[in-house]
Amino acid sequence: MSTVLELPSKRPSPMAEVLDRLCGAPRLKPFSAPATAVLGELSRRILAEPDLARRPETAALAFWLRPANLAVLAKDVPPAPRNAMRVPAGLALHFAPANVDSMFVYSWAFSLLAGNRNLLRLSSRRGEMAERLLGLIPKALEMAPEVAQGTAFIQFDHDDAITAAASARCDLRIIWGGNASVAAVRAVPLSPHANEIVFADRLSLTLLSAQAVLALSDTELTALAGRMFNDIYSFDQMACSSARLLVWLGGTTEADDAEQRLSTAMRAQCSQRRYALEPATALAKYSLACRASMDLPVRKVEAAAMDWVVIDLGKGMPDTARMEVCGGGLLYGCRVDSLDEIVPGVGRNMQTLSHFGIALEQLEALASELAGRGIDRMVPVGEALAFGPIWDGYNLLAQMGRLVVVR
Amino acid sequence: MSDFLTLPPYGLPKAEKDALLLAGLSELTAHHRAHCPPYARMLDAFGFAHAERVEDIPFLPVSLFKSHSLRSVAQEDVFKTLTSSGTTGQAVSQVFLDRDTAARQTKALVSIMGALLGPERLPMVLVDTESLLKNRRQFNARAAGIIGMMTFGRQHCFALDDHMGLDVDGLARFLDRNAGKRVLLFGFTWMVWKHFAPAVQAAGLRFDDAILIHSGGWKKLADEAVDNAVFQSRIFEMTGIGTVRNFYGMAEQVGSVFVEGEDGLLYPPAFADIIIRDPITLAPVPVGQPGVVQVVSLLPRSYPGHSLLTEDLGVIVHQDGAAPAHCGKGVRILGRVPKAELRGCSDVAAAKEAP
Repeated sequence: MSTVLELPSKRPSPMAEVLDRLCGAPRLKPFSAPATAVLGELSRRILAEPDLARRPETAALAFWLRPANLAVLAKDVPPAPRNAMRVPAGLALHFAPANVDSMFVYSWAFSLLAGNRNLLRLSSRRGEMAERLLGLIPKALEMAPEVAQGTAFIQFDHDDAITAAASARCDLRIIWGGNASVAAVRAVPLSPHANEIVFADRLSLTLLSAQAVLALSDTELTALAGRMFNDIYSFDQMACSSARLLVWLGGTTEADDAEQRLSTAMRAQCSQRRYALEPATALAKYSLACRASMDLPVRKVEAAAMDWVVIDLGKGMPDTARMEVCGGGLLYGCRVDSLDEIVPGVGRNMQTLSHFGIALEQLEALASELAGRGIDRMVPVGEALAFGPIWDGYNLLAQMGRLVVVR
Repeated sequence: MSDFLTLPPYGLPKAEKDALLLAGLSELTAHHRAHCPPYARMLDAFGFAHAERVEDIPFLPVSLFKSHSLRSVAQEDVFKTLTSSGTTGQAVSQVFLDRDTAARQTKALVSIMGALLGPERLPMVLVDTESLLKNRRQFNARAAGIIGMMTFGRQHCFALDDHMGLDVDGLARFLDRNAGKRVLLFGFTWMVWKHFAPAVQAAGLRFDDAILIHSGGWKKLADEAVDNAVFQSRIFEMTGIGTVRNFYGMAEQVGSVFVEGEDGLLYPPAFADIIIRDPITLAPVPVGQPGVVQVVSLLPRSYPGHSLLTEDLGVIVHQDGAAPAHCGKGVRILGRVPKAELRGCSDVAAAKEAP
């Protein structure tokens, strides 16, 4: 049987032994005391590292893992239907994404709170932040041996035999990493009793009221740009929920003026926050803007500085299938006169709409009008990356458990 | 129209050269804007109106010749299509030449090589295989480079066989016949380094009076920690070739080559130039500061390749510092822009690695 590397120690272990250990681990209930103790301890340990406590992504994670927040989360689990109760799914197998280093912790935490035992496969291309977080987990697991026994983080190179062995014994398979990863893992059979949660390629947008942006004071504008910076640049714009399309609500002149104001503020953010654009990414962005201007109905390209590039596609929602993306702060822009104009341009692939200056009722009307075409989240600008219990249309805590009928 | 090709290639001081280039490049920009619709759309999108300085001329990323068919002449006027596979053999650049542009390229090369080699055509060794030229359908940049350079020599001797082995007998006969005469060699840097020089040494052959011109990129040599100085001294040790001159050029700007001077720096000819840009802001940087290489040339009329942003890094070491022998910028090429690794939600590399 093939060998995997257990993390963070990188100790080689036969996959069968890891699976035996996990399957033999004690079963927990949803929101068990040992689970919240481990996650709470991890929160404290993240905040005890000065640099992690300072970084917005890890600070948000630590904040989210606090016992007080977990208690709120427990209340948010939808009540089980009449004559039913929620129980764990069993053993969950996670394929964590390579791009957002904190995501594996969320995936693990939700599943642990649902009461599952967990096997997480991490990418060998994970970043330094993931490595740091992994390093803190063994200490947190010391809080509860029963959780420790039912938890494994592993790494292995492409090997269908390992994936197959784990897939045959798990009760729930969770696949992050986009269409290609989903297709690759789905090619490996899953236990007939198991459920699957998959996260496909997504595209996110930001919807801004031109009028509202023009009405901001300089200080307010800077604050807005700061929140937008977090949404877009935290993971080099490579997170699914980072906006790649900028939709202005308003007339042409208004929208142009508002965009100019915003662009100036965004460039100021990039230099203030010392966003480290890599030369190859700058060249890729420039080349993409040139290609797009040849191939798409481009009205103008805003590329006064390469850290903030907007390819303006004019009026109406664009054909997102033709929008080549590259990350590092390249957005397509468009303008609409009313929210109705957005509807036909929304597809299943759209995930997060972050908004500014749009009334809640208007957004509710939009969601209702979309009727499931796409867009799974509408959140204020600045919260695009805030991971939550409802993601990509799933209520994760509910989906990660099972329902038992008792009457 | 192409009077500039009669100018001495290294004789123009900065002010004159800038004026020549600004006028010529502005005219070419207008010409391509009028005749190449995708190029016009790009200029419109970026809001280009006119250039006050050479640095203001819009620059096209060289990779666009891989993704787009860009020409400023009618299809029926295309007389030759150059292709280059780049380094990894993925996408192929397509460069469309009409007779006029091809003729300008040839004239340009004559003017540059004339300055280096003198008026007489020397007996010539081509460090490549002759079969490369037989398949004219695959007219790639390597074959084009060989054919372009063959003009500058006579009694051509191809040094390598189809398996990249040295044709020892053929080369020995060539050396016998030309004993006591100066000979010219041309080849691609890697081929010279890997397939030619060590085999020449092993065969015990020796060049007494020879000039080697080579080109084609330093990536593989850099991997072996071989720089220009090491290359020159090792080539001399192995073959006896005393004069070794590198040149920098690309399929997208054939004819517009920057030949190495005696100081080891590369010099753009009068009708071409180099601009170094900050790798992040893409703004021009002063002499001495490394950045991304932009090349401009007055040659390309049949395709919009007169101002290109390359993926190479370089630095201008001095401006007019080697005048009067070499007016203009003395340039050093520093290799490729390192690849970035942005890890996406839908990252193909990640998917391959995923189970």
